[in-house]
Amino acid sequence: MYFMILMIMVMIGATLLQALLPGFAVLGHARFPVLLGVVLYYALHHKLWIVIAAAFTAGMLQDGLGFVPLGYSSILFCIVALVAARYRQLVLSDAAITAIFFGGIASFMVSFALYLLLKTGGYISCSGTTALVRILGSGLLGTITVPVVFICMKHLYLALDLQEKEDSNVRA
Amino acid sequence: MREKRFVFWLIALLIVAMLNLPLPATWALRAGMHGSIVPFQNMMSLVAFRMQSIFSGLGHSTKVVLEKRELEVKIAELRGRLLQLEQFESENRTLRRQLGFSVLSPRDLLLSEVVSRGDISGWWHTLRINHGSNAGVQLGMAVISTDGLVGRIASVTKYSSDVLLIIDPGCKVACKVMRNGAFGIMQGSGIAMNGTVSLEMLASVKPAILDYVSTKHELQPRDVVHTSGLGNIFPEGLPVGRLGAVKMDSSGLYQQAEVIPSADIDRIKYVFVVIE
Repeated sequence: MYFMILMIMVMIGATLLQALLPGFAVLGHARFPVLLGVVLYYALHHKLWIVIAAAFTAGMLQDGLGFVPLGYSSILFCIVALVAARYRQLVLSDAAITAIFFGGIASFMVSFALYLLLKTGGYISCSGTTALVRILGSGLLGTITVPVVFICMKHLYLALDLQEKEDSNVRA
Repeated sequence: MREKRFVFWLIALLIVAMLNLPLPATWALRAGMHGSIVPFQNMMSLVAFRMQSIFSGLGHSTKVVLEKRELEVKIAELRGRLLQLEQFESENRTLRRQLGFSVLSPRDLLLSEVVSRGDISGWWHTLRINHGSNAGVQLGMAVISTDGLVGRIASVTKYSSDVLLIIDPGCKVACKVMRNGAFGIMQGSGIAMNGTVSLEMLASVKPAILDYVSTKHELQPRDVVHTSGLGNIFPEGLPVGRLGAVKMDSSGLYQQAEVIPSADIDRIKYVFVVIE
């Protein structure tokens, strides 16, 4: 219960941070993918049901506070989280390079898939060039944001003495 | 294994339910989320503003004093101008009555504070303001700043509203060139631009485009553009911006012109919702 409350608090904090941090015009106004970073952290460090719950919650928050139809980001976050969780045994979960790699790829893929969904649904009308700049910008911001999110999350869970318990659960 | 399957199907079911929620339920859900997040956004916005004020004040105390003096002078000047305008207004009303014209009602403006910028997903150009339906804000209302048109209300909850900016490609504004009365439709390109190109905008800088302008009217750079009131989305006569480069459309049937919005959308802190 305590873990779930903490997870929701973390999600709300990540949402506020993502909304607060400004996008850059040079990157097509792409936002810092803080929520995705949190989802990836859970995907690489925690049990599957936590990963899915985190991905679903993050998606709901992102869609609910913006103009994206409800459920779009949840689907994409769940897919990304499941793929990351599938390969976590093959990578060093705490290595910076893992966070950079997963952050970049995941952010790029989520942004690209969201663009396709929104464009085919007629929700956005931006040009292809602008979309490309934004998708590439998202990937770049993912490589910067996700490692920082991983460090913050690791320190938070260590400070609250929850990391070891969760890691042991994962191994079990 | 059973746990995994259960979780997977549960989430899949929830997502399908979300995608197929009826519109009122979606609005209610969104309103609930906005309602729970906006107070925190307000708080963060206030803290960020205070911090910015403190730091800018620390470094430039002399500059702040000078700016304060300048502002006091400006306020005095504006008060004088206001008095003059009130006289003109009263004279205008009297003349309109004498000529049998209906008296124009002044627009009600609701001062609102910007609590966050940009859609959280990054695909729309929006602002979130701290007033919602409880203050009389409704969907589609125009939002202006002291410089010009900012956008229109795209979503409303009880205590907050989202403004779709005129620089968003999804926001189309029926406009009129003031010099010759030429009509056109302005569409944003997604780039905030107010005449000066800052360093962060080195790539793909494109101002908004005024489209479908008749070839009968000659357009010139720096022509002033206002809302035309056609389409009943934006009220007539709100300043939008100035024209930039003018060119003929590829079909040769009408003209296109770049529009530099007069409102400084990137740095805006307070806006007015036009309540009519």
